[in-house]
Amino acid sequence: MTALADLQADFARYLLRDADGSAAQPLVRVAPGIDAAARMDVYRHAYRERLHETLCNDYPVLRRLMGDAAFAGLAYACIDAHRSASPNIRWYGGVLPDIAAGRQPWQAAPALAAMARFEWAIGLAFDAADAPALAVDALAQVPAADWAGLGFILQPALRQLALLHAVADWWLAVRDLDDAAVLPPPPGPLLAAERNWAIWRGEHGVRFRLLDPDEAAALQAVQDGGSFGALCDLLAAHAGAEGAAPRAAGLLRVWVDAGWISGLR
Amino acid sequence: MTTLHHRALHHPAPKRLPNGLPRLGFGLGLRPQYYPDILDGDVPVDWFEAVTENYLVDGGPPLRQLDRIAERWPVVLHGVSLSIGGSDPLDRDYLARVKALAARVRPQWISDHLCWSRHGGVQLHDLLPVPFSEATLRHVAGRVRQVQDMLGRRILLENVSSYVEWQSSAMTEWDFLAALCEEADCLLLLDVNNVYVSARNHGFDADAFLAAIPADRVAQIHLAGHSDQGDLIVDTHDAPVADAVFDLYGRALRRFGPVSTMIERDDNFPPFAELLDELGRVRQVAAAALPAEAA
Repeated sequence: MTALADLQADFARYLLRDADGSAAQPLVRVAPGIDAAARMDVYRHAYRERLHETLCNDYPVLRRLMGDAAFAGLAYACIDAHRSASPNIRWYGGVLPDIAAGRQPWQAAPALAAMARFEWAIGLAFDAADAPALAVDALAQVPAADWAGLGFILQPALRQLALLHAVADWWLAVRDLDDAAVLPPPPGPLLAAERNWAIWRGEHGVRFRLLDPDEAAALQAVQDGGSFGALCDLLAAHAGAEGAAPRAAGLLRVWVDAGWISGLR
Repeated sequence: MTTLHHRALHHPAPKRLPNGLPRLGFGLGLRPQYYPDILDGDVPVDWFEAVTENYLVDGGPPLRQLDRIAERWPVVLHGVSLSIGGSDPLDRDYLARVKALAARVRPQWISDHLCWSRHGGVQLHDLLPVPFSEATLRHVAGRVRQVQDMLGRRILLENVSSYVEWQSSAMTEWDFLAALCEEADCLLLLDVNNVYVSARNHGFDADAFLAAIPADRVAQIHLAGHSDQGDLIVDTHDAPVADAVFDLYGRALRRFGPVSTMIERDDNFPPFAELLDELGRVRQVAAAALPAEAA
């Protein structure tokens, strides 16, 4: 290891709170004004606060619901548990939902972890890759014989999220509240089972809606590469043999209108 | 054609510095808070600096807005994650993404900082100073050459604000920067606020710093506000540029000529009109410091 690598290892351990200052402090030149420990602490403090700030930016509604101090507690738990691996700090916040879901005291309020997952998914849709939306006319040009094997390319920004709590309405209710407003209570009672939401980016921003169970299964089948024929087979379990093709065609039309499909294959 | 016409009206072919880079005039750091102000009007800003990492995403509004701005104004890319002074290997995936972004927005140049920001695979998300030694100089110069080979262009490196100096430093920051430019054939982004902040924090003479910097290497100047905490100054970018930094900027221009200058603002965002007023003050300081034909 070179002297440079040794210095950086010692200082990084200090910044990350893996070590006290006993190894790093002798590396720092004594200078007029404040002492070496206080100078080093500027960096140690900044490391923590920079990650805290990025989590505040990623989870504004969750932070509002929890309050600044409680959210900071969650953020610091993330920072203590997870190092940042991407040069782009934008990706750090993905660690928060698992901490919220898996640790006390946050585990005791599972709607908060659900909100965290929802809010992170909103952010992922926001700057996912662009792709053109398929025109409705393109479907009309598919020869009848090709329909059974027809596959679909979905928008990269489209994702499904399974949630036990109806946090989307909660998110909408809290998002634009001013500072003095009274917060709405968490959604309740709990849904009987997880329901699937579609989250995608429309022309004017990120959008979401609840999926019917058969639509969620059909969309997943398409995401897994299933053809229109496979879609019909799957929907037969929900709509019966005769109802499957019309249901599949209806869903397809809804998806095309929403801009979820970017191409055929 | 409207876009080209606009550009031709407001941004004539820029003159160049002796180092070959264009003189862009007076710019601002591009921040999402100001997209509407920038795009809805005809703002008196000559160019914009975009923080590279903010646009290393796959798609969506950030890249669309950058495309729109790059259609109308000269743009430069300013990174914070290169870790050119680090001892971890260079991040080639990151560099490939920077190169792809540059192919998309066609920046006038690409810059980052003389610092380290990653160790042992952990991103520290800070601009940490390197020890100024012969060994570090050889190490950093070799990495700069690799980066320049990968990107296919010379890069600019910025002097950072610092709060510690290392015992193992055997030369001054300004001698290190001058030697690095020579050794690696790179250019400098001179942050005048950082010179001021580090000079106060470490007790050196800011004018001695400027005097030692090779004038033909300075291709861009940063200005920003700081937080004066008495016994330490912190580079916060959350306040207007301090009077003392404006004074130092005037002296820098007299030494370095009409170098492209911009203001960075990253917190406590004022109305856009206030930033434009501050940029007006930058123009006034430049006009007073430079001969009429150069400013």
